[in-house]
Amino acid sequence: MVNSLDFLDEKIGNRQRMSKADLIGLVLFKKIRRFKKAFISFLSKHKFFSFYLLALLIYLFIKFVFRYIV
Amino acid sequence: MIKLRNPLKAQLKIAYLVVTYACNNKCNFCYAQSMLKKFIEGEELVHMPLEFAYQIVSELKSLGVNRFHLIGGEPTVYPYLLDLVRFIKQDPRVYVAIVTNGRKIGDEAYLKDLVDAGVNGFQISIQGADAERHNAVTGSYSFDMTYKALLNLAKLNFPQFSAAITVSKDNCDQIEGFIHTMKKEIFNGGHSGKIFINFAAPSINFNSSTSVNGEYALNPREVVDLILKIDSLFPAELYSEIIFSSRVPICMYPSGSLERLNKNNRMSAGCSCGLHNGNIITIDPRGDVLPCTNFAGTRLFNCRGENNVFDKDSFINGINRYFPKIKELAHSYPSIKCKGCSKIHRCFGACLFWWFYFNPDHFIKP
Repeated sequence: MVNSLDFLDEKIGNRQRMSKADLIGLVLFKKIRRFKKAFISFLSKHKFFSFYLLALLIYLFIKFVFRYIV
Repeated sequence: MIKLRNPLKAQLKIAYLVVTYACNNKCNFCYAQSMLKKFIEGEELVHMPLEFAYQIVSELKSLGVNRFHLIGGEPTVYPYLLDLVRFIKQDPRVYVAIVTNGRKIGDEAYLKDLVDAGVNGFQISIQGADAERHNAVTGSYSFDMTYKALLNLAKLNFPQFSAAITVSKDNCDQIEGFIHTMKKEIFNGGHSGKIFINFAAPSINFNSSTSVNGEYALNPREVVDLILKIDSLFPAELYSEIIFSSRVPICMYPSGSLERLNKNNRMSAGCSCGLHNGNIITIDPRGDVLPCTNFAGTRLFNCRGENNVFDKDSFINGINRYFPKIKELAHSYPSIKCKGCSKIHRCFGACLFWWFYFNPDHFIKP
């Protein structure tokens, strides 16, 4: 049985490795995407809590606007 | 006691369990063809032993895997499928999907058994708009039963199912007809099902030597052209069911087109490349761990010990040893033109399998 790693090494072993900057971009992109997914899934799972949180934020925002700006 | 170098719990999320390599179809583009041939010749174990499957599932669950895709071969010819689904669904939060040719799901009673066991999603592979083409591509007389499977799922109003066509040179002229038929006959009653348009990628051919077979596959340029053509012929407002699944380089799409496809939810997030992300694991009936399903016929390492017992130490050691190496190899540029590209973190330079057969320099733009 051929090892997948040997197969892959034979096919792409001589390719140029990604630069540090591209690797950092890759990791950041993955982390942000994972966070986004988790956040959206949290919001959809806890709809009532999300609405409450949103309402609270709007209330605080309006309060802030009237208190310090208007 | 073996300590994990990297906490796998944070990494592994999706498992593809190849419960059997046996199949009642003979699709000409199948990546597992060489394995099926071996089974026919009586060389290898056909089905994953049930006890072994239980042990793998338990271990993967404990590592944080919450999505199981049961694939093959053809998973519905696996004799212990219902038992395995019930076992996985002991935790109702875990998602189980079956990728099948639908021949056995044409039987309503069997479909009901699977649904009762807890299956969350079905992907039914149908390879043409009519019986003649489907049967020619699959090398079987299976169109009627596959079609019946889709009708059964629609009748049941099953929340998550898709009719998936794998586009190759043999059926690329049938996509329009396929979409028309599916929309008219299956997805006409406001079902939440999807029409999945996959594109056959080159696969490993072990019949002669360790070579890659891709004569049947459209090249990446043809894939992009076809996606854009279908997208313009079937507007997203009227055909919201259509989803494309293909990992070709982002730079091959004309400016703005990929953004439009993404905005209309037409591009699948599936196949997020476990080689790059390290969040997907594939295990075959013999306990061989593969980097991805397309590597059928090779293995990274084996996790089945004596008497079909799951060998946890080999499994953990293997993952810690091989996954970083695979990632390191995969993190490379298919073409020098990819160096410095602002989209490389999203694209990875496309699925590796394209470039085992096609020359990346002919397709990737500077």
